[in-house]
Amino acid sequence: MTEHSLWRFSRALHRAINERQFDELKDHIDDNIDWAIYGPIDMFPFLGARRGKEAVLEVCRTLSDNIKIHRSDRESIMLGDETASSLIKYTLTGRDSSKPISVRFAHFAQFKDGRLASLRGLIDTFDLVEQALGRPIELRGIA
Amino acid sequence: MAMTANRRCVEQFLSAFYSGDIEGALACCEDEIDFLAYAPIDILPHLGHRRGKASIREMWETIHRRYAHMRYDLPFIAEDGDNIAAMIRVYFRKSDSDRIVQIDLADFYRLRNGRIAQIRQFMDSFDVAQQVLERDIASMLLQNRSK
Repeated sequence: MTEHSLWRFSRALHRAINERQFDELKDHIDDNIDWAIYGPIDMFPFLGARRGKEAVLEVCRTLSDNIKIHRSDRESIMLGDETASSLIKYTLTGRDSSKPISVRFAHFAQFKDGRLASLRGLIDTFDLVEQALGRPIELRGIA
Repeated sequence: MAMTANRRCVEQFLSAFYSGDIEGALACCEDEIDFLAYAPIDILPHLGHRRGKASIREMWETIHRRYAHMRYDLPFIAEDGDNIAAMIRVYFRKSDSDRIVQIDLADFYRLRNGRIAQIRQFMDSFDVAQQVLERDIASMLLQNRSK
C-alpha cells in the first residue's frame, strides 16, 4: 500500500524545521500551492496567507529560524485519497530560549500528484500569544 | 459516492445550528455530548468546556442572543469512520451593532451510534477576540513592548 502524501510531507517539514534541510521539502510542495495559517501576522510573520512554493519555503525557513519541534502527538487524523485533516499537539521551543510552547495545530490539506497543493491551518492564537509573551494578555479596560 | 449517515448528521447539525434551530442541532447530538472550544474564556465565557445537552443549550442560546444572523460556508469536510473534521467559515452579525464577525473554525467531531458525542473546536482566537472587542490588541501589545 502506498504511503499517504501527508506522512511524506510531515517528515520533510519536521526535518526542514529542525535540521534546516529544505531540499526534500521542496519535492513535496506544488509550485502553485495555496497556503494559509491564520493568526496575527504582525506578531508572528510566519503566519498568514502565501501563494507559490517559494513563498511557502520562506515561511518554513522563518519557522526554522525561530522554533524547534520537540514532540508531536497526533490527536485526530482523517485521510482521504488526496486530502488530509489532522489535529496535532506540538511541543516547541524558541531557538533563542528554552521556554517550551505547546500548541494544537488543526489543518486541512489537499494534495495534487503527491504534492501539497493547499493548506489551511488553525491554532488557538490567543493562547499562543500569551505563551510567547510569557504572561497573560492584560485586558482590564478592554474586555 | 453516497453521503454516509455520519456526514449527513454533521451537515444537518451545522445547517440547524447556523439557522438558529438549536433544538434541531441538539437532536443531532448525544445526551452526554462533550464540547470544548479552544478560546479565551475571559473574553468568550460562554465557550470553553461544556458537557451535556442542557449546558450546551445554554451556551448556544447565549451565542444566538449575541448574534442576530449567522451564515456559514463549508469549504472542507473529511471523515474517517466515526470521526469527521470540518473547516467552516462563519459570518455572525452582532445584535447590538450590526457589525459582521467572520471566523474560520476547525471542528473535529466524534460520533457514536450516528450522533455527535464530542466536538473540539479551533479558531484563530486572537482574531476572534479582536473582532468581538473591536480592538486592535496586536498593536496595543506591540506598543507596550516598544515602551
